[in-house]
Amino acid sequence: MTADLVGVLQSDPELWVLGAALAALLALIVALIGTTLRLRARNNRTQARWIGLEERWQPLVLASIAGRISDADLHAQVSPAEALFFIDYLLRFARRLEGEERATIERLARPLLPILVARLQHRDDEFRARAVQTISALGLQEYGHIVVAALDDRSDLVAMVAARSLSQPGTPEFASAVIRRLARFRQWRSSFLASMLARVGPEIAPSLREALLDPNTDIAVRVVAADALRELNDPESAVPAAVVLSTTSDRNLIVACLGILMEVGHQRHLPPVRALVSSDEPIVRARAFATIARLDDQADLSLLRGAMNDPSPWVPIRVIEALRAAGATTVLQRIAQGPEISNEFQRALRSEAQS
Amino acid sequence: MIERMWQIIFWINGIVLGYFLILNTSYLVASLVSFHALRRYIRRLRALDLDDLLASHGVPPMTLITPAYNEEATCVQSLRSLLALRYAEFEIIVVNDGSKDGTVDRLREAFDLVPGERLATGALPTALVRATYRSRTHANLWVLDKENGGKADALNAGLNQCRTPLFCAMDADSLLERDALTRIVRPFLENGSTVAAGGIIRIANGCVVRDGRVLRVGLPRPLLPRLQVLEYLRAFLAGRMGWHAAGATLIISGAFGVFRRDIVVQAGGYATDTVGEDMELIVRLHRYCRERRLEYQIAFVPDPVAWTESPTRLAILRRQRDRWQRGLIESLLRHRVMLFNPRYGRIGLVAYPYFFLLEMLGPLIETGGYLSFALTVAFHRASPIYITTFFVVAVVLGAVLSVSAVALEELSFRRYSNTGDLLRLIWLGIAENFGYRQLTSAWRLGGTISALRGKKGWGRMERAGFEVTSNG
Repeated sequence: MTADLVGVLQSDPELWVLGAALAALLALIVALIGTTLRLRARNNRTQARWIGLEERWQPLVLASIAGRISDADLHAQVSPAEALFFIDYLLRFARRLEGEERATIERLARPLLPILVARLQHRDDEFRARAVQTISALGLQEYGHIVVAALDDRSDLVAMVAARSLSQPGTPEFASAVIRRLARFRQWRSSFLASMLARVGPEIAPSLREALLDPNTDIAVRVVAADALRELNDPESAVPAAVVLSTTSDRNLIVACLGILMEVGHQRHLPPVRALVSSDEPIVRARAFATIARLDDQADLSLLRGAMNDPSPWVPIRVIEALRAAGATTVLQRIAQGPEISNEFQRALRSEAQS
Repeated sequence: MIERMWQIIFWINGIVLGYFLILNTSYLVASLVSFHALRRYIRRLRALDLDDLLASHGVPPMTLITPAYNEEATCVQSLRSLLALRYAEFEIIVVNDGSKDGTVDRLREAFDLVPGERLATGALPTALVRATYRSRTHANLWVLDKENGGKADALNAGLNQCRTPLFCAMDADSLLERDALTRIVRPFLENGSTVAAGGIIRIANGCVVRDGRVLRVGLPRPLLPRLQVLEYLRAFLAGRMGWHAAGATLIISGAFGVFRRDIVVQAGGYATDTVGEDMELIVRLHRYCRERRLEYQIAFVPDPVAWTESPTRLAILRRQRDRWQRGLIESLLRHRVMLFNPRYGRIGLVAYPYFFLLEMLGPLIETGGYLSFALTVAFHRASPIYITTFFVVAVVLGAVLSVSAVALEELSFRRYSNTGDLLRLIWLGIAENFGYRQLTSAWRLGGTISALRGKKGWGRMERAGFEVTSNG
């Protein structure tokens, strides 16, 4: 039988190829099924191991926080093979804590962090990024210089994790390092970067104002700086914003500066804003009108009614939002009463004022 | 004359063999690429702190547009799950597309809707919007009640009211996981030129759902939805992940995709004269951006999940597949200028030709192959061993692809935590090659014929609603 089959295969090369393909595929499917099942078994084992370790460590860590056990005694319970698991556990534990309790966790992690520092040389970006994240969460004060160095890592992922780690509340000392390298993150969404910087707190504002005012700084960085200042509601940024507004022609920077003025500006900042209501860019007109509506409680009603008839729908929408945010619903009602406003538009305006 | 016919049949056999070889090689390559991409992706997820991302004010506001047509069975539950999503700032616009059932009444009762108007941001042409409602219980919920115009028309009506930089297009009967928006928005944060991103669709049949949340994931008992679970795993984890890794995503499911509002409006919104509006939009976005030399990215993200109810009856499933095939054909034919056109980069040279030659023409080639093979065997023009071996190879290769999709799931997200479910999926990966695959091929052929005959419309769909647990 086998000899017959071999004979058939030898006499027909195409069939031989098909037979070989079939054998290879059968081997492949068996290997795939085996791999899947082994993967499941391994995953289950890892999960069970994790649960076991957590059950063992939780009372020890709680005892350490309560001061009932020394650090040395706790570390003695963690074998070298478990060290990475333990750091990961501490990281997750630390995220739920603040103040002294968190400081205890950081102290417990400190002797183990050199393991992660060594991991910063790993060839995989993701491993390095994870190491940066853990080091900065558990030992930023001690290893800050290493995290700052990670801003220049060859991987954008690692650099971004470092930037986010350095932009934590109360760590303004690292802010300038991050701002200097912001141009590297040009691909990232600007509002996201701004939010990341604003998280540091008002201490970062001087560096941001400096970046905003510097004409040699990359425009994208200046836009991020302006957005961050707006998010911080920094009152001192109104003047720089007005200055930049009258010197730049970049649309994004203009919009960002108008954003600052809308939040923290005064009537005295309005002259350069008024000039922008006739801009060709709908987004600039919308922001300019909205800034006027927000800042000028004596705003010319006919000017705002003109905004309602702007060819771009965004202009009236942004004005309405600005008036609503300023609590000026009566102004909205008065705008709606204008003879040049259509009935349909009036209904929408009233509804918008209520919603 | 007869010899001539046999020559033609052998040519057809040759074409079928070539098709089979290229198609399965591309599936295998996609699976391998996905394996590598998913492994990296999972590590990357661990390196990014998602909770930290959630807390960020920098995530762009988003509008969820959910067209609803005769969704009274599931609309309230779906909407409740949407309102509970974890995302910094979002608005929901439900567009009732002329439902004939009590969809609007159910929504009105559940969310205390009152008439309210708002200024439109766009002017895409749509069927008449009869009324606009806002919710008194949820400030971020709006309902548009419009005359029936189809899903694309409903999405355009929602787009006309969208005020946020991003919008999420989804089905009213889909359930988004709580962190789905946070996860899917990541490509937009990481790359400012991202114009669209799609998430993964999973089958909710067999899962335990409460308050619009999937509490326990499991395989459905009936065979038909169970087979679809495997199909979806293969399509998303092996197929779309592979195409994404190659930078050539050509499909984002209409059940869950996030888009940049401005670019979609500039490109003309959704096409209302096709049943494949989701794919057509993606192909058009590629074309729009390439023709204007805009820097752009269209991404697939494998971890944000939308759960959907799959058809449980053959007739409904057949209609769905018929519609999908028609949508594919309509989308591809409309943009045929892209075929092998270097102007469109890897889309024109790789992705589009793949979908055009293998996915669109596939059913025709396969059917031609079955017929010519049958003739070849019937008239003893080829060795039965040869034919049998070929079919066994085809079946085993199909099983390899399906089992590799199960392996990818186990490698990455492990949603089916019950080992029995895993074994069942593996078994289905083999079993589906005996009947189900041929059936879906036949349905796709039916869709191709329908498209050639100019058939329009979605066909009737039925929803049973999700399996729920008590609140206790």
